[in-house]
Amino acid sequence: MCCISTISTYINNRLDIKFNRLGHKVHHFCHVTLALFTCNGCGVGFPTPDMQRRHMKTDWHRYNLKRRVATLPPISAEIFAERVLQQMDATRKNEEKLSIGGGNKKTLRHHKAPSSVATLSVAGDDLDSVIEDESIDLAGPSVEYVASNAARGVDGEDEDEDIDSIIERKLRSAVKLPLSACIFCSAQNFRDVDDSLAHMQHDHGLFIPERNYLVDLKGLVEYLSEKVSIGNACLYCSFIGRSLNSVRDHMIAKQHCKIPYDTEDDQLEISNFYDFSSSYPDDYEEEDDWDDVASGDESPDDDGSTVQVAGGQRQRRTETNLVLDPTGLELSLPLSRLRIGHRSLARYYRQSLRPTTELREGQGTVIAASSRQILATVPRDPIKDRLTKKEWRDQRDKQNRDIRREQRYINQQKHYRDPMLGG
Amino acid sequence: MSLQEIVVDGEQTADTKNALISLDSPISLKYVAAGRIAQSVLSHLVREVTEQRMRNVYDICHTGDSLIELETNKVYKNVDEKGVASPTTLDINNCVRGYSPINRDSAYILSDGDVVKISLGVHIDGYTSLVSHTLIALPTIPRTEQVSPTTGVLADDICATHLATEAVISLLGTVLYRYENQSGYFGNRPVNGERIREIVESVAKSFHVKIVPGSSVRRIKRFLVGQDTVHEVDVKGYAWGSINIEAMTDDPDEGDLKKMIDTEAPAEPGEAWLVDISLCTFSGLASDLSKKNGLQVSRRTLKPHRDLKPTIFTRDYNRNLSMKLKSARSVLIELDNRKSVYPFHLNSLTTPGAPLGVAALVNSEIVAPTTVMMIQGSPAPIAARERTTILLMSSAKHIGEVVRLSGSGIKPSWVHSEFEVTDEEIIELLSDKRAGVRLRNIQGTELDVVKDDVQEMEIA
Repeated sequence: MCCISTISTYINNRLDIKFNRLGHKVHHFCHVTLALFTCNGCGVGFPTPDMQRRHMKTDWHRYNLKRRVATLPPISAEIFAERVLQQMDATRKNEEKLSIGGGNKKTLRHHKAPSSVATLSVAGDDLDSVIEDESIDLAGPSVEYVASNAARGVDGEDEDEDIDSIIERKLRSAVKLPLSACIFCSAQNFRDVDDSLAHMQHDHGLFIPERNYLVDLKGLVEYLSEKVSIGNACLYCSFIGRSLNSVRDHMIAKQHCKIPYDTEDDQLEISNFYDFSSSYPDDYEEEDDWDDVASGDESPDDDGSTVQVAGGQRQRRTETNLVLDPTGLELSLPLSRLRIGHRSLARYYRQSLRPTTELREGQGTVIAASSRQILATVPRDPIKDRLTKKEWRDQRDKQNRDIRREQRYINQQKHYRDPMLGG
Repeated sequence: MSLQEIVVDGEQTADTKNALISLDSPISLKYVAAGRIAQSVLSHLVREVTEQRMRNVYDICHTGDSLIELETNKVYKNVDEKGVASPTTLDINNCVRGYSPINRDSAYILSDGDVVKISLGVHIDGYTSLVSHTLIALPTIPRTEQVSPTTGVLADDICATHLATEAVISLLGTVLYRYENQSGYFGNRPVNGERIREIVESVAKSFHVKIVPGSSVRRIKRFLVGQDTVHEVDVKGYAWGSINIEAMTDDPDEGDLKKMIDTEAPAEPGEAWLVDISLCTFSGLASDLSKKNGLQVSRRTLKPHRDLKPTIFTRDYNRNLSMKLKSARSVLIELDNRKSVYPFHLNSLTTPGAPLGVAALVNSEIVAPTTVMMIQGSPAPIAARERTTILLMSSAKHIGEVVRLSGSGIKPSWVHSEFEVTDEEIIELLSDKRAGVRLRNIQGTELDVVKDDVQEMEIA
């Protein structure tokens, strides 16, 4: 209520007092305005640029802009105010009807105006709901979309919402996109799916991967359109829009009108609509009736046509079928019994060990009986060892002492030896 | 000394492989089979020599080995290791051991009056029977026309050898019985190496002959019959000189001998024993009956033959080396795969270049040669040799008996010696009663030998 009065006051004030360009106050009558700063969208004028600028920021002006887009004539401030009042009443009633508890919404998550609006603190969506009365068939989706939005109340900016409530909301606001409609834009007049796909490819750059193996085209298109229309999710990234339009805008703006197919998860996502079985190698059979052969690699009826891989699975040998051991260190060649070892174990394969000869009975007996072998196993006597070691040490010390003692006398010669005469 | 023939239980020896319970046990049967073959071949060869059909030593040795191979192949088909345990050697006069020529041309030809010692050995699955017999190669006149027995030192030698062997066999047999005296042993003393030594030396002394080093009376086991390359730990019996003839020294009390053989341990029932006694005349030797040597021929006089190279070799399984020489490698492979632990003759190897390979192996001491040993002296002394294998068989059912695997049944040469045994105990052992010992002799069979086959056959 206060807002309305504010508006009317504002309007009245502005209408009454006018300033000319030079800044002089100019009196004028009510509806005859000497409007030097105009807003053509709303059909109003302002004496001062400040007022004009302030007007531009209002909801009323914005609403008029929308009306202009929808090729509707602008409405005056009073009518706007009325409509707002109506809208608020309707919202409050609906809120009472619906669940009270889980009605927290994210308001204006992505469309919040940078500057706070002092006037109408209503959600921008509510402006849309006002158009409802006009009952002009705008782009079809908008109409129904509006209906769902009306159900929403005006709420604070609660960020946390349950996933269930999100899903519920999405489902409620879901727009049924026909199959032959474009997912990304509002073009609808296509004869069939192929036509719409051609349009999407041509105009938006949508390319369907692995077209050859696609089995269920309609299912895929339906899935994608549901993803966008119900879930409001971008196909390419993880963006979730508040509405179909928002996600569409996002996809077009960011050029995300493509189906992701790079990672395995992406491929798995749409794998239901494909059938790659024709690309499998020939004669590939999973021999499910083979039991794990516990007794080594060779089974009694092994004819070399199957390979026992260490995991217990048997795989049929084919010309192209290289079977890799689960450890990754052994490769079974096709069509032969050869197994290739990995190069990381090369040093073990290169070992050339002394061939162990199996001893015959005679040889074994002789070797066992030979005293040389047995004597070696006689345990050493530690005391005796210690004594012998001590002996050696003493002997060595004595030798060292003798050598050192000799050094003193080594140059002492009893008689002179003349070097020339051979000394 | 009366005797109670009490059943001796089949005591198992420490080596249960040699549990000779009765003549029916599989081990005994193998021994007996080996003995029979050895005996058969030996009698055949003796007949060949005495009937003067063969005079070339190479022929005789070759025949002997071939026959052994033939006969062993006929029996025990599933047994892998069998055949020649000791290649046939013909040692003449003062040659003591190891002469078996490689080729016919350079072989010795027997002449009249040569003292020939035929030695051979057969084994089946390791159960060995070794035999040696000494005979005099008679002059061309047939034996029946021999007017008088041979006399002289030769006679003494042969007699002494024969009697010594018999006495030792009887002595070992007494182990199977319990005597009425305190200890239950024959002569109140256990039968061990020392006792055996006494008896042999007593006989040698009586007949004025000397004991050749290398003679031994010892207990044998499966695969272990005193090969040069095997240094066994627990050996029972007695050996003159050394266990290993190659390592002999002059001193009979050499430490090596004491370590190698246990002369105190008594013989026990259930064992197999090898009696190998070689005595020689010492007319040509410097009569050194000094205390040091005693009745043993001095080591200095026992020497390898100057010219004759060894032709018999034994693989030493304690050594394993990789050889560079290709022929050595192939010979080694053949030895390890086809030959057993017994000595083999060079001719029995089939790989080409065998002599070269074997020479290399001998160098690396992987293979030990059996050198041809001679007793030096002038005039050259003559050695006689007798070798038998016996089983001391005890059984619960039957009364124990000594089974003489080979060496019996061949008529000794007609000799007459002026000496005789003086020791009473020995007389009792040598008597017909043998101090109560029952002796069973394994007889040889008639071999149907086709001469052409034998001579052309290669010794496998």
